[in-house]
Amino acid sequence: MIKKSLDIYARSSKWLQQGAIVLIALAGLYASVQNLISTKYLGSITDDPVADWEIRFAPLKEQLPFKRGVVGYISDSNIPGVTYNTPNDEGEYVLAQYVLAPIIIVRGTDQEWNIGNLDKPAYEIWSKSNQGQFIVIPFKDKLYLFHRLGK
Amino acid sequence: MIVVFLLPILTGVMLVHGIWPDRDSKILVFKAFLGIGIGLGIWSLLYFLYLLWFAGRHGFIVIQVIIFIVLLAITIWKERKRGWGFLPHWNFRSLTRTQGILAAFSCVVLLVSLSSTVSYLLRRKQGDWDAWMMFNRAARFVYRDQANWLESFSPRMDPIFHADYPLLLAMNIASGWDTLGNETPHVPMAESALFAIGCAGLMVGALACIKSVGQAALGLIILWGTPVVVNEGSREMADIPLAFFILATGILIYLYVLHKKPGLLALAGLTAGLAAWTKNEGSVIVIAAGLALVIAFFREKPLRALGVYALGLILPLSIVLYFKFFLAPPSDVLSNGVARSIAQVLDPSRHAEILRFYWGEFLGFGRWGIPGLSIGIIPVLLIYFLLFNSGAVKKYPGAYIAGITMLVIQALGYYAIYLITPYDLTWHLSYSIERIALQIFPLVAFLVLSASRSPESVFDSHAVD
Repeated sequence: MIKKSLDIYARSSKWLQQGAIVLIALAGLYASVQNLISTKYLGSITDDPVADWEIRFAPLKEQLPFKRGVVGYISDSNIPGVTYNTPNDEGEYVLAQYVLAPIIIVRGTDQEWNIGNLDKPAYEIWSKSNQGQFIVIPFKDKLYLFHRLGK
Repeated sequence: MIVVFLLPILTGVMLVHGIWPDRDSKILVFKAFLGIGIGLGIWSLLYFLYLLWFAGRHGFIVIQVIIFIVLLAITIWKERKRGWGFLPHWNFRSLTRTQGILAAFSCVVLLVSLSSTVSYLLRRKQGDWDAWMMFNRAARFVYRDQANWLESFSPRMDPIFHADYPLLLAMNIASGWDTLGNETPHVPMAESALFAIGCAGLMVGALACIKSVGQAALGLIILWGTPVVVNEGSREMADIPLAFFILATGILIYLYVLHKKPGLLALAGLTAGLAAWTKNEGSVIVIAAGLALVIAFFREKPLRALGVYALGLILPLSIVLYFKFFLAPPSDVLSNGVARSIAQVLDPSRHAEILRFYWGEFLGFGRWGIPGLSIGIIPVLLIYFLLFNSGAVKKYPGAYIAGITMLVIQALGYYAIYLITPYDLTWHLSYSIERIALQIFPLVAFLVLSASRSPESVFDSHAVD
């Protein structure tokens, strides 16, 4: 009786173990296939948004009189009263630093050279409150280079 | 492009083989994958030293080739002395039916996940957020103005860009660009994929050495069948490279318990040091592995084990310390000041919040996305261990004491950082906890699988575990 019970226990335990291995293998395969399918939602293979950002900043970078140094940076979030999307604003700041390397960007316009990554309403508000303090060089795609006067 | 990575990898493999000259075919497989990370790590350190003395001269490839040739000559000389009979003889017919089925299954999972890696990398050619902020950014700072590369660590840089971060990835990327003379995104893409493949290879090689082919195949299915591991390996970030070095350190200590070869501890010191050169959290593993050795070998001359471990640690740790003390700006995580840090440590709500996130990650990390199955891979592994416990923990207690000590100290290290972080705690935990779990997950999986009965013992009636 005891021997039979032990035998049943051993066999059911083995089936459980076999089932566990089969399930893990199938789950791993299922998850890897699902994961492969999900990569198509990351965007097109031909797109490279970071490279596009690089192209956007290239003319501005050429206007800077140095290859390494510190420039200021402001975006819509620095302009009081302007609505903006926080994650986008933060992401654009990170990308700006990435493409401008090895130039260091710091928030604000305290530097001699400063970058404005501003929508039109934000630029207009900024422009009114900073008249006569900067020479403004506008670029395509809402980019501006501000050269502080008298520094 | 091939040369950029082939030289470091072959150098790493030869170095590992020189320190641990075992010729068993499964050990050779393990050493080949270990060589990937060690080679990339060593070249990263050497490029850093090169820049300190020769920045702006663009001659690193010459040094690489010279070191490679010297190492190759030494390896050939040593192997000729021992005879060439070691070349592995692969006999796939010797695989049992269970091994064959599991190996074929794991190859399918590997191929599907490799396709995911390629697809991810091609759609995110410059990596993801942290790659832009830290690793690829730092590489650009070094490569684009090599002569003035030390200015890359200016304290004026916004702390969110982590100019204080160790440079393993950035140095490899910059040296790759330097050799090619071109800032191609293919270099960080290849590096990211290499560490991901290396991590899987370490798991497979080690389990094949310690357990069986079937267990190695199962390890591959578990590691590369977990989407978060595959995706993080494609994001050009430092978490999978760090996971590689943590796993390598744990496995090498495990192998030391089995083989008692001091070279294995020297290699463990090297991989722990390279972990510290990969990410700030990697410094914890240096202490964790050291303490693990003391605790695990308390009755068998722990100082000797520690001494050999320290020998491997010297080069990477010296460079990390030099970088931290003389070049890097202060870390943002430690910017709170003593008084505020103490106040945060004494705040019970912070402890509760961290424990809540830890528990959530324990239950949910590495979900497979199967409808109706909401638990993650860690509880699955624990249930697996309860079902398959082979008694290896009792047979090799030192190996498991060391491995578990490393995991506990690493987890406590992360806990301490969360306690004193200057950032909003919930944001910091949400942003990083999954990647923190990822860093130690391969070692958890390895320890569980090495302590469990192999599939052969379950499916093949004649197999002995």
